[in-house]
Amino acid sequence: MDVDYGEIMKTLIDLKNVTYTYDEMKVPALSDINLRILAHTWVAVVGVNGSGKSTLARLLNGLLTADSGDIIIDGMALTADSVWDIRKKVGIIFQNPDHQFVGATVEDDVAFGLENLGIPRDQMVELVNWALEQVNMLEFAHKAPQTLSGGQKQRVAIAGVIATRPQIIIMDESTSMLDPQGRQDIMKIMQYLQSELGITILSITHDMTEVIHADQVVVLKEGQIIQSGSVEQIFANPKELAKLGLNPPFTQQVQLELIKQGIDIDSKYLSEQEMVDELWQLYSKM
Amino acid sequence: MGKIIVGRYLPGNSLIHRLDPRAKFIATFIFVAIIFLANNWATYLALGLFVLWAVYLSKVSLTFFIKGVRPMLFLILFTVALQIFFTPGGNPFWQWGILSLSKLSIINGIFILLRFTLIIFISTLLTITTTPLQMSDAIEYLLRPLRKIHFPVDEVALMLSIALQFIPLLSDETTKIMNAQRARGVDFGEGNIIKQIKAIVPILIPLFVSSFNIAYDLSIAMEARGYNGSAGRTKYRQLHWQKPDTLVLTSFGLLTIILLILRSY
Repeated sequence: MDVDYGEIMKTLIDLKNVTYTYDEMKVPALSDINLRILAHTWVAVVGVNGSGKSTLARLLNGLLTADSGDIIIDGMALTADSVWDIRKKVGIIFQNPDHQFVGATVEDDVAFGLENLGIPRDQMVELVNWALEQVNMLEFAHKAPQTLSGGQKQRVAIAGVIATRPQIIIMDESTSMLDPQGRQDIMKIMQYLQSELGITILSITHDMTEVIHADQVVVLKEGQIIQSGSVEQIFANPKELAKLGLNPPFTQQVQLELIKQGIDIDSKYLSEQEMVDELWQLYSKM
Repeated sequence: MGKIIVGRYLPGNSLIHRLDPRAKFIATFIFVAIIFLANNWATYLALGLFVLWAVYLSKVSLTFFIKGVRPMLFLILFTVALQIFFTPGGNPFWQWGILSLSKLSIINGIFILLRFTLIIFISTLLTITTTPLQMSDAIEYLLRPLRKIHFPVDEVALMLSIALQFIPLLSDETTKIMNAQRARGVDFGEGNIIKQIKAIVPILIPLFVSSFNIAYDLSIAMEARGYNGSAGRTKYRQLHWQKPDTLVLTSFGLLTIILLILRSY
């Protein structure tokens, strides 16, 4: 990141011994979770279905209430009294683009969160335009949702969330129902929001190609954090990941196969470009 | 992706289209009330000319209005027939038991016919030039006095606008379910009426399940975005009452006066 926030190492999300069990379930969905997330970072939470990823997202803005443990957001403990203030700090983009569109038009939908906060109308108009500009959807302001693609609807959902200026955005598998182009657009926008607006991003996904944007990766299994670290650290042990049903991105798979074939290639995590460079160098060495 | 239009709205930019939906709503109600003032040829002529003038201003083809009458045709003809055969008095030139025909009853029948047609024309004009969303805004505004008796006006308006907005999504869903059931061998539109009704059940059940899922997801999304009831909410969409709106209501006032004068002739 090229922005100096002064308080860059501040802990923004702090989970202490958080446990949550759904009604009529014997096994907790999340058990004894301890997690610290620094401000302005991108954190990816990965794990297979049923590992507790979405439960984590819902606990963080009080849609679910933890059975035990503390959730502290920006220094404020999440309680029944503070939940509406916490929701101002934490926005969520959900999975299905059609199931989170409240307004009758794009601008109405973006304004929904602002209406809830009781923002005066002239201020709302400014904020709606600003938010739509951030996600390149300003020209669609008067369009009805059924005329938009899935990716465009998710961009509107992002605009609706950033209009209320939250510090944290949780993406609960927000790109899983989109086509590749839509996914790419959303990822670009989220990177922009992180670097330009300093928004902390918690991306819940099982698409490993999305993980490479993260500063920190958290691996969940059966409601527990089994691994946490940088992308390089997590991908360093691909066999472990594969056991969890999580396949590393394509470049990583190529790299592993090459190592298996006895070819001398760097075993640390490589981005697609780095991988291509590495292959060129390898070729010129031969 | 469904491109269906809810109601019968036809996009346009005529004077009528641009009117405040509240003005159109109130005007339609006034019209339905004052049509009962009409009692002779002159009053019906005045009303008819007024409606045709409004239709002309909307720049919508007259065929759309005639189409609007068609589904009501049976009801209209039935009422007209009752009126013609059961109106007592006059000098019946044909009589059979309680059924009679006279000049008076035939004229009454024609009046009823005109009354129905005019009401359908004017309400078609409202639905054709006003989007469902504008309608729900107008209803919300006009229901405001009910807040005093703790009627949840804002909640009802939000429900109405969400319901309208999800119709295209649910119609997509219906198409998907129908295709899925067809792939499993269900025949739609075949066999006798009982068979056809039975074929609807495997559409309805999955549709119910999926609408409940949508409602659940949407409610979570709304809560996550800070929706906590209508208290303290501000409104983004606003209606603007302008000069033409006042003029429209004034013209209805004038029409009422004209009818009152003509009716005493």
